[in-house]
Amino acid sequence: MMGFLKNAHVEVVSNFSIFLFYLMLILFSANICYAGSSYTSSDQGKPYYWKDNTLKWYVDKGDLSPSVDHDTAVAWVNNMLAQWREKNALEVDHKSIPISNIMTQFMGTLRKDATGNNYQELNIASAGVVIFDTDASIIADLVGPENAAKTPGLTMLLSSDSNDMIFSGYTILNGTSTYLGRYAMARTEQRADELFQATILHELGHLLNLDHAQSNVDIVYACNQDGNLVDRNGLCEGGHYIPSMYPYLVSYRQGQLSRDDIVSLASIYPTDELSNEFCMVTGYVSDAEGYALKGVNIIASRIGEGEALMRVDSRSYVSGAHYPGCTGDSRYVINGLIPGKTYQIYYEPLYVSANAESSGYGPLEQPPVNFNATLIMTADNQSSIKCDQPGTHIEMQTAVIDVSNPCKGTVALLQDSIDSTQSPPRDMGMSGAPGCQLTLYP
Amino acid sequence: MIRVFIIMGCMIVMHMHAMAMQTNQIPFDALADADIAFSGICLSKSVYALKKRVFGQSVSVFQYTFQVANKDVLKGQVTDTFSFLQAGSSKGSAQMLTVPGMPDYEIGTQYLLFLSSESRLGLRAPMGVFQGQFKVISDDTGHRFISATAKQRHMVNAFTTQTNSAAKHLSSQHSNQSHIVDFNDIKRAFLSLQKDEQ
Repeated sequence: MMGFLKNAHVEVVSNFSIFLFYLMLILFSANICYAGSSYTSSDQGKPYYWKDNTLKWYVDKGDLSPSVDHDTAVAWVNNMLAQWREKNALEVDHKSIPISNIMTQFMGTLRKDATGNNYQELNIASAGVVIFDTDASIIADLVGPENAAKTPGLTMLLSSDSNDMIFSGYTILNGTSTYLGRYAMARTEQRADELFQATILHELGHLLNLDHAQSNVDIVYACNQDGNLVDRNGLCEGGHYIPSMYPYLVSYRQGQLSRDDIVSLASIYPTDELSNEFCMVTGYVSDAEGYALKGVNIIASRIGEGEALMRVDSRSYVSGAHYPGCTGDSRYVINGLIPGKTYQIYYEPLYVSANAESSGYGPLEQPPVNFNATLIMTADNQSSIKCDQPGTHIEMQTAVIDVSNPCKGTVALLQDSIDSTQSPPRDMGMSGAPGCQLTLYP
Repeated sequence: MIRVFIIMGCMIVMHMHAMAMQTNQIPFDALADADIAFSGICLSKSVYALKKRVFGQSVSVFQYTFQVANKDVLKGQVTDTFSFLQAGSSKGSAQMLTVPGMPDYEIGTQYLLFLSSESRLGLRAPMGVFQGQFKVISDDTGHRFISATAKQRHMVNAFTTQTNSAAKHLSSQHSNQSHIVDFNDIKRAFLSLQKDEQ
């Protein structure tokens, strides 16, 4: 190993039964994993998560770029991690109730600067690593040299189906993206800094295992109308409604978490209050022939209190995200609905995913397209829902969409594919599952 | 010895996901930076194990092979049977290096591709990750068009074949988010960019 850490505290599993367990996995498992909706999920239909709800993280040595020194960059990372940690509550009757519980623990600075020449051997277990890719050489290796400047950041996760846990993660921040002028909409150095911090927030979301999310997408298109990301006087009106986890950087205002981001994180790292103090909506989506239709974006938006609240209080979920690819069913689970408030539930296509283009969303590489946004009705045929009691679970009618099913031929009839045993969000009791530890130094 | 096997076991059940951040939109002119550009039919797709490691992990990528007619090479050295390596998007086996947003290619389908040069890992990618990949479609007479997706529309807005009746017909047959543009218009515009560079 390259000696990136001075004192690696890594356990080596020495139990022979565990050895046999892994040997069996090698021999009999077909481990195929895909990105999920709000997260990547295991073959068992559970999102991967950091052990003990704690992201232990290291940071690279050296500066992020000639214009952003090490201390400034670390401060940015700390600030963005604090958002994910602390912006975790929803307001109910003027009371702030936490719905997610993620902790972070700074483990130290790498002894060596990770560069394009040595990152291949950088291998740190049970932790996340934030890498300052000063010259974008690491990102260039992965997305092609000419694309490096257009990719501000990138995150890689290693996970294991054997225990649903994230094993390690690497967030690579592109130092060349920090210069003024790298972003078309950055008119000032301050704006360029804010845009890059929005990138950090997004990448750290990935490091916590959030996938891309789409809500208030009409604002994205309004902000992009002239086709080059430039908005009105440097501002994207309504940009603060766009999730930080939207696949593209549309506004510097994505540097603040949206309701969609907060609720998505809570689906992976929930508090007890999420299920006890709020309401949950679930349902299925099928094609016209009754087969499970995965990859449809489902939105819950508050109504009756003006457009601003409708946009603020929106959250999304992609149908079938609990299971990778075309496996499992097409269930959606929307958490964090506020008791006493009225919501509409509707479906829409993932708009960035037309024809051959890959979506950047899970669970399907090419989700269904060619259908319009449509309301989903309640079981008693109402067009909106309102739960009066905290902890209420509302099951919607199955949404039937007459559209070509990308999983045709591989997915089961919806009625046959429904797993009645699943109980999202993740079972907190799973955190004691045995881990898979690698040694850093032989 | 046992330790060695345990480590191997752990390695094999690991999955590596790469998640691209907000890839910046690129204008049409940025395609001029492509190392190679061609239109071809995807012949095959296979899994290829990279020799170099990525963060200590052995990873696989996809190897795509295209059949390319000489007249459809717009830039660079492209043989009539041309192969390149690319990270996967989300499909693949364990240890597949994935970058959501990377395009996939359907066997038998024709594409117009503007690809980056090879990275040190030996990987190429369309310019702008997915933005430099267009599906090529033909009308009843065999005339070719490219189908731009919603996120590529800004690149081809200057081309007005959307008003062409044949293009409209094709558009109605394809995604309602797609934008149909005459293949020759794109080709001419790209070649013009090359001349400007020279």
